[in-house]
Amino acid sequence: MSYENPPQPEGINITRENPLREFFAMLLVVVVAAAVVIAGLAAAASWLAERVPYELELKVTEGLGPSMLPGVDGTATEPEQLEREAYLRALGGRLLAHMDFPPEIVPRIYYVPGETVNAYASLGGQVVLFEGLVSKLPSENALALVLAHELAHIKLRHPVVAAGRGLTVSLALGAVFGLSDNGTIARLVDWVGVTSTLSFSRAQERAADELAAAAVLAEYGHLQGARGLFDLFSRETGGGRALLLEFQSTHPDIDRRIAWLEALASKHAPASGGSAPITPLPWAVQDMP
Amino acid sequence: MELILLAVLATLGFVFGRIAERRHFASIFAREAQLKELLIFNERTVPPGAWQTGQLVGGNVVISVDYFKRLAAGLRALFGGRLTTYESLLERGRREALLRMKEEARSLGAAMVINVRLETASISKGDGDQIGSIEVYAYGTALREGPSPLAS
Repeated sequence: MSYENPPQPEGINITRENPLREFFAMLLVVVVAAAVVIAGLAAAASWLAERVPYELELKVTEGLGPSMLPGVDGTATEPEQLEREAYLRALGGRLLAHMDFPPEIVPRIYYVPGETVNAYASLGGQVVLFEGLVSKLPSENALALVLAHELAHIKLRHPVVAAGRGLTVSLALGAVFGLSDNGTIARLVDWVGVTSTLSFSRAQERAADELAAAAVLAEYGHLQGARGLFDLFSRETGGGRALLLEFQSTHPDIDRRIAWLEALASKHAPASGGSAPITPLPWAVQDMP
Repeated sequence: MELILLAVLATLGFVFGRIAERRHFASIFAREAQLKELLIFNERTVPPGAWQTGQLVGGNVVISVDYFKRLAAGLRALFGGRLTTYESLLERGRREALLRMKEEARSLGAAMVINVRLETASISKGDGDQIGSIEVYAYGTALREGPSPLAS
């Protein structure tokens, strides 16, 4: 018997295949599977959240004033701010009359001082309009469209749907990746404090647009001037695009929506061909240079 | 942000891990060729010959898992199947440990190592029992055809 150590053949214990290929194939499957599961959960959560009674939503968000909402540093305190808030609430009341709200839903409108150029709807029927946006709007018609749009979100229960969806997805991700390491608990706490900005889907924005346009049309008889809202954002000069970006963060797909609104506005244009009366804002005169 | 960090770490792990692995295999091939005259077996009995001494020799190596390998293994844990990224790591570990054992045997003037055994251990288990590095220890009985250096 002879003993020897011939050279070992290579490639038995290790694979020559590039590990990146295998890695990305697995990654793709995981990402696609996760996307499918999350989309399914989000759809299920949305479906369920819509069925949460409004009383329950109010109860959960009870005691959470507007100061808990994102971007809000303080509420209106100066007499002039309170005056504007009262005006906004009155305007909101007029619009609500055309919106066929369920009796249990009573929106709360807040005017918030600050540079932020935005407006949004949140849980518990809260609607926030920032000074930065309100003071830049050219007419009451434009303001009414913004306000009606946010009120429409409240009527259609979009905040609770977005919150339910967000919470479910956070929990699902937390269950898979661990609650402790990726700040999911922090996000849940955020939700309880209603401090996270709720993001609505494009379909939800579209539905709110339609409801809002109908309300503004019912109130003023036309949509002229309402599109002044979008003129504000299409003006390129003076950081118009920057304003647009801020507004877009909560109102996606704005270019298509401008086109849609313009088509609707021209459809309901006054028969006389002349320009319809545009209602000025009560403080417009003082602001003129 | 977390995803970017993950991607950067994985890329670094892949690039440096790949370079290290390629160099290590090149070194292993070269040293195996140098030491091919020194025979190793896992035979327990001493083969016939004029053996004067038998002595324990061992070689030990610890290799760290790079970030990419760990990530790929984490993904693999979802699907099951061969952990190819760890297979090459362990292959390197085993062959390196055997080489180090052979180097010790050669320094003793041995012609052969019999009863070779391998031990593998994972050390520095970190978060979620992820393996941080592997240790491979190879040991055996070196046979020398001369008087024992210990015998006087």
